[in-house]
Amino acid sequence: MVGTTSLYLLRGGQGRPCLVLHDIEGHEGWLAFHAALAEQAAVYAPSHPGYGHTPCPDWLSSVQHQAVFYQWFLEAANLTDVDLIGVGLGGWIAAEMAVFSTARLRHLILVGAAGLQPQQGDLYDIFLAPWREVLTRGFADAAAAAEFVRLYGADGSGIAQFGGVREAGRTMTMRLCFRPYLHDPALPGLLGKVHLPTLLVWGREDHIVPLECAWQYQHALPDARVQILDQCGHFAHLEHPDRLAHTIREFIAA
Amino acid sequence: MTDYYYFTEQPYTAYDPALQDQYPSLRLTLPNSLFDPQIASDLYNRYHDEYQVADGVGFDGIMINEHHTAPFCMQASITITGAVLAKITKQVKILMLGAPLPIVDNPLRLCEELAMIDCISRGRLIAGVVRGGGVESLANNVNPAYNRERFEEAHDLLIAAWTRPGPFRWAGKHFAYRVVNPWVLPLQKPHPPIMVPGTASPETVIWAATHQYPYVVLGSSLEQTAELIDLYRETAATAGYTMGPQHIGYLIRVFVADSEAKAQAEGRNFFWQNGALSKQPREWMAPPGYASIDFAGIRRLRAVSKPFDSQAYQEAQANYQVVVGTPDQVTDKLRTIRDRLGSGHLCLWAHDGYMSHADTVRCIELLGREVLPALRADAVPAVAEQVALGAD
Repeated sequence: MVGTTSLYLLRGGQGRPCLVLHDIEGHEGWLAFHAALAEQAAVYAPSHPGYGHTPCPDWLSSVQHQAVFYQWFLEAANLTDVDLIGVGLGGWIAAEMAVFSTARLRHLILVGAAGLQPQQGDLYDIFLAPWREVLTRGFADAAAAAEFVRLYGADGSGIAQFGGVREAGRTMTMRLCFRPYLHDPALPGLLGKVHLPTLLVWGREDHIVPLECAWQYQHALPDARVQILDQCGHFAHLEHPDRLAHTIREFIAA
Repeated sequence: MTDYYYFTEQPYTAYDPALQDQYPSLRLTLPNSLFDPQIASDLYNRYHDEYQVADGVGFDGIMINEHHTAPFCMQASITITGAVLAKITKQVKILMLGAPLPIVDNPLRLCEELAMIDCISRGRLIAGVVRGGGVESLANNVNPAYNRERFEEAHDLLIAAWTRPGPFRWAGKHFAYRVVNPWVLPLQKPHPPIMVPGTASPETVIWAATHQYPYVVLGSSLEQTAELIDLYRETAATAGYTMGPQHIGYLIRVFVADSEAKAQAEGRNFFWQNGALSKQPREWMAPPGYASIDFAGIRRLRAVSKPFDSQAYQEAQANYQVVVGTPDQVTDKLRTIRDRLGSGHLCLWAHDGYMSHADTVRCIELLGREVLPALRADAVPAVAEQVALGAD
């Protein structure tokens, strides 16, 4: 329980706590990425409030509220020295969490994180495209990604265009991210407060949150390095789960 | 008594509908470099002239609407068209179907504009309100996930601003005002009548029925319309009143000419967009969180949203989505529709596509001078009987 909200959460592995925050679509179950991380950590994979598995408290209507919610979760579960990993939208939530407080955090890992407005390119407008296009565009080569094939089928025919739990997640993303679109204008200024070893991982072919956002995050954060994954799109945790987990483990061990 | 309204979308026709093949839809993405303001100036003034003809030949009202980034409708502001009508017409009611409340960021200003239109027109405004398709929210960068909440709160503010003496404070979820105290108030008391248009969303029918607002079905099939009317009737009964013809309206495409051949030829203009209406991405019309509507159902209902072919044209006529013919033929069909639905408001979509000014004026004149008098001469069935017909 977080306050009065029952948080849906998958757990696996043993070791240092590692909180993994999901992206725009919502919770995708226990992924190869979670399993790879769980070889050396206690992985917590929650479903954000409002994304179908966890109810949305009345007061929660922004990404900043999500961040406060998860800080509350860390307190309620009394987790300390947490390695915080966020993918896409989850990366934005993680960055806002770190802005509020780093007291319970050990490392920050942002993967293709939303939250900043690119200077040159654009954040891809996920609200104007069919969701099948959003998902496939998030991979350098969707058909070659085992997790994509497992979740959606090789041709993507398993992607629900609308309805069900996916609709709940997309609706919540719409509520949280519509305007300003997928970013927080205050975030660049606030990130200077985050004195935490940070790894920024980006797929070189991220066509949803452009690669330049990695450099913007690095510029704004006091202690961040960038790692780029080749032949990888936005959903690195699905396209190259083992490479991504390995990269993160190396960073944490260093 | 049934009221009869004239309607045109005020289409901009100087582009090639085949362009839709290059874009996801003619909404949002069709480059506005294709818009020629010189042509639009002529079209606006022509359409306004035709409104004056409808005013002069005996229509009860003129229905107007609003769309954004939509070449098929040049009315980017329903209050501007309403203001024009307030001044250039003398008799007709100004039926807005409707003001798209959710996309308005300052509904208090809308209250003031509507009140001005009601005063200038000397009390002829029907202040219809509408949620608008999701694409209208996207075009105006208003969060579609809050569409219904914004619609309901803006409506509540509208009514409060018109009926509660100011000044008072408004502290809502989506709108807040330190002082609600509009100086200009409507002439009609307690406020102008309100109507609600819709295509298939049951929740909107229920909302309208709960408020006892007439619900106007926009171009659905008669069968689907009868289902929506049943839903209205049930909701009314639950709310403790009996639905009557005054609560139900219907929009129907109509073209009248002196000869059947001419009418049949001109009626093809209702297909002038050649299927563009059906080419509206789901994520634009009903974005996540927009509604629990049966989007596929809406598409199915729009026979005229198909590309033109003679089969589609015959089908649309057979199921009463398009009515064309001589005054006698059209009178018979409109009578059937009116009495089958028990509809107290018939909106006649009597111009579209490439219909010429002369043909449009002739159509309006034939409707006003021959069709409407014939329909009005019918013995008016008792309300109860009309309700029973609608229940079939």
